[in-house]
Amino acid sequence: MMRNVRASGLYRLALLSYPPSMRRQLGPEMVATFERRYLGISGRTARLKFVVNECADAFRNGLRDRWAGVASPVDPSGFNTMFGSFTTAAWHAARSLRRRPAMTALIVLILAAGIAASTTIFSVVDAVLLRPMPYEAPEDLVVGWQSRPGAGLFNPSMSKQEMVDLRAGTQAFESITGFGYGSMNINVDDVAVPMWTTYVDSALLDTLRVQPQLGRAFLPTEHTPGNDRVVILNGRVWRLRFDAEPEVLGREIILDGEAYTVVGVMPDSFQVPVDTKWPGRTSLILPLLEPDPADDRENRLAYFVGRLRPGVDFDQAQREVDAVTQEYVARYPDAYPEADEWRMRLRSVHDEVVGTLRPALVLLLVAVGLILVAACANVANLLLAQSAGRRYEMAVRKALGASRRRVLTQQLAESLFVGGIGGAAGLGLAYLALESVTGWLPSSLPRLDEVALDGRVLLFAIAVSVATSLLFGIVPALRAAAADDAEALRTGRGGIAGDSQRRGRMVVAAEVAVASVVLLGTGTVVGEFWQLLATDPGLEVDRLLAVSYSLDSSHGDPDEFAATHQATADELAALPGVENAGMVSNSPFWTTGGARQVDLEDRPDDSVRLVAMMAGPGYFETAGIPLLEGRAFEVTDDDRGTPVALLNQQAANRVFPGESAVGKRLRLDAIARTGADGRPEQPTESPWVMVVGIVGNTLHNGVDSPPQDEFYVPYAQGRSSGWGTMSWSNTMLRVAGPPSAVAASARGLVEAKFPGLPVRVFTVQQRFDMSLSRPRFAAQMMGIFGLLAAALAAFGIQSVIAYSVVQRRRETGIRMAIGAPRERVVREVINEWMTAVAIGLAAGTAAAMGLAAIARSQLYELGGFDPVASAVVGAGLLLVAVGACWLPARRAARIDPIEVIRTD
Amino acid sequence: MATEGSLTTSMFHILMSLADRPRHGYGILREIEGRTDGEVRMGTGTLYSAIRRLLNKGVIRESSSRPDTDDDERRVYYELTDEGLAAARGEARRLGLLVAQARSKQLLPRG
Repeated sequence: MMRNVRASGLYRLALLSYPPSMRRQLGPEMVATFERRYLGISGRTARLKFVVNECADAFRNGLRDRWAGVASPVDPSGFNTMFGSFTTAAWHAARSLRRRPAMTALIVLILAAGIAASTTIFSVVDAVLLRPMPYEAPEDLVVGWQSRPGAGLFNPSMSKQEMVDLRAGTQAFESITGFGYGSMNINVDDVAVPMWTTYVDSALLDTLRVQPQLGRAFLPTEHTPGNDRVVILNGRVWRLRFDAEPEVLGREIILDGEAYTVVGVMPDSFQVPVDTKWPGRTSLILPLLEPDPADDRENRLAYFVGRLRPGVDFDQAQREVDAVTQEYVARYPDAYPEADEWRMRLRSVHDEVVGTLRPALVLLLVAVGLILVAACANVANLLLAQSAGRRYEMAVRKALGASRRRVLTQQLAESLFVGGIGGAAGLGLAYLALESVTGWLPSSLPRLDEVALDGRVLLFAIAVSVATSLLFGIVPALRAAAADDAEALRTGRGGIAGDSQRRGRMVVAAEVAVASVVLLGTGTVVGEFWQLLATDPGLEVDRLLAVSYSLDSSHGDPDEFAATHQATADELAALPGVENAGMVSNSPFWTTGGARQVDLEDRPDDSVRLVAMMAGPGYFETAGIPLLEGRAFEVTDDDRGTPVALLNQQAANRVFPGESAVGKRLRLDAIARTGADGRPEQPTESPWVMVVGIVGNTLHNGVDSPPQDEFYVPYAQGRSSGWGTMSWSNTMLRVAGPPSAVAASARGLVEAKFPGLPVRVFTVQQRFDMSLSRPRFAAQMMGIFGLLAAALAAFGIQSVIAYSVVQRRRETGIRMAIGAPRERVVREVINEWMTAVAIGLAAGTAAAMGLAAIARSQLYELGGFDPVASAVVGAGLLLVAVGACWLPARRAARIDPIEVIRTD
Repeated sequence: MATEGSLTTSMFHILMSLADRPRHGYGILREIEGRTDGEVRMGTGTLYSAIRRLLNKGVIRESSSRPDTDDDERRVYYELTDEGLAAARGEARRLGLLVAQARSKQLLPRG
């Protein structure tokens, strides 16, 4: 359907060539017929061919009908009498351009490239940044992150008790609500699939003002224990897994071995308001239980969402939230160690969802804007050079009685005409580009589905085409209208050499300046990307395979899960091709552990927050994480042995600065557990565990995120460390050959062992690459734009100098006739123009530095100017410029002096 | 380009497809494609430019009957006017005469 709409947009644009009366009469029907035919065609290439043919057909027929209308005396719309002179001018323009097909094609090509690049990026920016969020009155929605000591930002940041306090203590909000994340295995047609679950508070959907497209939202009673076995499906899941059957309502589905009743289906576009950089797309929606006084204040599992009362401003809301936070931090000192660091920071939903993307997209937009300017400069220069050549023609027209206005109209009509063709071609290119770009876009990009060539983008493209045509057309047009005709008529040609030289130098300097700004941007972005690629993630990503699954209550006593996991890991380790194996609760670059409060035996009044994960023996060795001190986990570290733990280097240094952490004893906070009756059990104190070793830091959340403070306990000591059961296991396998060979047998082994259990097998390299998808996209796009800018600059320089060489043919010929050697002619041409290149380069660099400074002052996370990248860019551009000068310079040197003197 | 009064090939095809019953634009295209085994394929723009000219000449008009069931409200049905029927017959006669003459000059085998 999306494709269909995209193609119709193009077709509607082509219909603009028809007279308006015709469009009013038959336009909608034509679009309907077009769509009907389009849908009857299968295959991408065939459809593409069809769209191109249809647009060309409409364009041809439309123009013919329009021109037929000029001749016909009766035109009911009056369009042609009003714009008759312009239509005639356009007709003239078309004929005049047809006489110069090469020049016209060149101009159209340059414009098409500029318009295609800017339209493509605009459609991405429009979908992601500019269009309103899919919630009603999104400007009143805020989200909040509670910053707290030592915790990774991956963790949800509000407990239900805090939500109760915030609701009671603030007036700025119409409602305060929250949601949390999880993962469950869903069984559909005997196939189990892991899916992300979103737990929504009873007020969430009302606060966002979204409703299920089918069925109903949760009832208030369904947010209480025992009544919460109900689920709302995301529209995508409904279509993909349930064939979009409306009968799905009321059906029972099996999640983690338990039956849940489907009560509703959300629209496809529904997404909870959180930066999609975090894993966890909304697939299944489950009720979050109502807050209970017995809930643990430190069990922070919800993300804060609030809707401001109308007229309340953001700062007031933040002040009220700050007051409540300070109040509860002061009232419950035990729950809030390092009291100063606790703060709930509010952000608008828009900033939350797309905030981290804005710098990259704005950068791309600026880059394409500059490319468009460079394209216009090139075209204007070509037209100026050409209009100098056509001054005789214009002078004759004026002498024969054409008014200035008529000449002006004529020139503007020509540029609008070319701009229109360039715009149409650019749109066609953008259509093709979007087809491939949507494949490159990081899948984590929010609202990716909405990227399309729609009315807004068409409007943008039309505006850009008209603006660029006027921009490149106005100067040549004014010059043609104001030219000194007597001079042109007398000499039979136009253009004063000195004047065009000055203009040429300005064009060259401007082109180089624009190209250097874009290229320095490219250098910075690509440089940053390379730096990320070169960053040591702290483990050996290569040849590392992860086998992930999660057990549920149908797989026996949860207390035995650790032993089951270990047995599976041992079997996996014995597979042929596996060198080493070890399991971990959270796979690097994919998920991370929860932040837990940890008490210190040495300092009874102190406690720290660390990201806690479980690992099995052999994990660190398998993953290639170095052991820096002490020992790693061993097979004997089970519930019969002394409870042990490992810290990563960063946690060890932060918690025990200046001393060795090995031998210190720590204690995990007690977690309230839900008993069999659905009521929380009284938390019990955890035992002390001893740090036995320090492991290296890893960039667990991806190379663009800082390392976290990590704390590991052995799987087999779940009970003795106070952790409990871990249903998830990621067994890491270091394989000898290509990972794909082992992947199949590993999957087969786990599937045979746990029939019906979904197993994910992935290479850590895949996850690592995914964590780089955003910077990679920015680098790819900027790479393309850099090349485009350099090509436009090279072309511009080349054409300016070539024109100047032709104009100064006579002068050069005479100099060579009296003895100037060819090499000197070449050198002089290059020297003369390199000054302009140098000025452009200097101006461009200064402008780029200024832009970077502005960007940084806007708090964009833009890396500093990379001196190496800048030097490479500068040198590259100089080389391109020299090349661009050299070609026409050589042509100057080939001038035959005798020929020149004879003809002139 | 067609002069006033004469019919282009596409116009004649359109008149022929409307000869038995009213059709909408897409239906006309389908009928022509089916009748000519896909030999004649018209662009949507060509079709509607021709339709508009035929409407202006008064040889076809919008029809009030909507015989197809799979309907789209944007669709308009067209039918021949009496003038249209006469024009189509005249054109067919003219072509028939041409073909007969071509036969007499041994350009076509006798049918």
